[in-house]
Amino acid sequence: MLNKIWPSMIILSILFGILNGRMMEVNDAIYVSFKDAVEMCINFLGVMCFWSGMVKILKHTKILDKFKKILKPVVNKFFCDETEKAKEMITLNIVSNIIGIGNAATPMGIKAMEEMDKNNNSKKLSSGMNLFLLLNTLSIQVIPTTIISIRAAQGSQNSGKIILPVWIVSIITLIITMLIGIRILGKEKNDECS
Amino acid sequence: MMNVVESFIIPGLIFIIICASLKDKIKTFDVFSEGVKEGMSTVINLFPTLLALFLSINMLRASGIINYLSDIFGGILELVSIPKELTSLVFLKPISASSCMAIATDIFNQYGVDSILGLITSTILGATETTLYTLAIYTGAIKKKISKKLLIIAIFGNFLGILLSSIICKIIF
Repeated sequence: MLNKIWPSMIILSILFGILNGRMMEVNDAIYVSFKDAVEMCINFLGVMCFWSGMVKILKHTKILDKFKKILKPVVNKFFCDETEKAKEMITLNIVSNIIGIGNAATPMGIKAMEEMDKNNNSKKLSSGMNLFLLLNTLSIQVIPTTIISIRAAQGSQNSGKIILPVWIVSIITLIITMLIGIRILGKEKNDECS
Repeated sequence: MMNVVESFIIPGLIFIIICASLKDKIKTFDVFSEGVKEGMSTVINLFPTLLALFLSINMLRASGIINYLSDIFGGILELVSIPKELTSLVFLKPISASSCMAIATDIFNQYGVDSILGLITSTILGATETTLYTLAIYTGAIKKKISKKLLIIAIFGNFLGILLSSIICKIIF
């Protein structure tokens, strides 16, 4: 995917930069990107390493088993032929997404992908990986803490007012998109799972 | 209030995990260090994706193409009841969370955080994810391609979220 999107984005921006007379800005953007990427990487390095460490501890404790029990029906339904290790990471990713610690969900999600990849010999993503990716592109957070804080910081009279619409939108979007995803991406999977 | 509650989440989690490790008699420090090492190799695998994405997103924004697209597609979005003021948000939502924050702050300043536009913007930020960025980061560490089907469904999901945010906010507020 990125092999096509990425070059087109670059070419488009340069051509548009020329047409718009914004080449100075485009040129600056190139150098800013290097800085941004390194900064992001360093920030991410801390978060990723920290949560990898925490998860490693968590894996040795019994808490994980409790989470696994709660989410077992969901995880087994969609990811039945993944390894136990992969299922653990998937469970942790879903839990951290739901309770809204996005910066923990990403490291766990990446680890889950790595685990699932070990079990996948083909060059393409397995249907389990596809569904897992799709799930992570959807919002399943119970309390949208970031946006509520931003609203409060911007002087909102009632910063939590948006919780209800956020829930309605998230749930409808989640159900419709996942149903389509399962239909199109997870066909073989459903036969094996049932 | 929210900030106080929020400030308890992560320390609370750490507290619970560490306590559980003591209870189950785990070599907490050794295990933690091992995990940190694994995290480092994941980030190193991820760096090329990060650099490439930041480059293309920053260049795209600097070229002014987003504003151009907003002018063209604003009217079309209006037809499906998405306010035209939010066009750049529609285009940037799948690729860059930080740009969306900037746009949202702009909208809050211009129209008010509790105006209908402010509420729709907030709902969009709360109910949708940075789809393309997520896909790229999650597959960045493994060397597999994302299929077109997945890409289309994910973008559809993102757009559906934005569309529903506009419709539902208009109904509720």
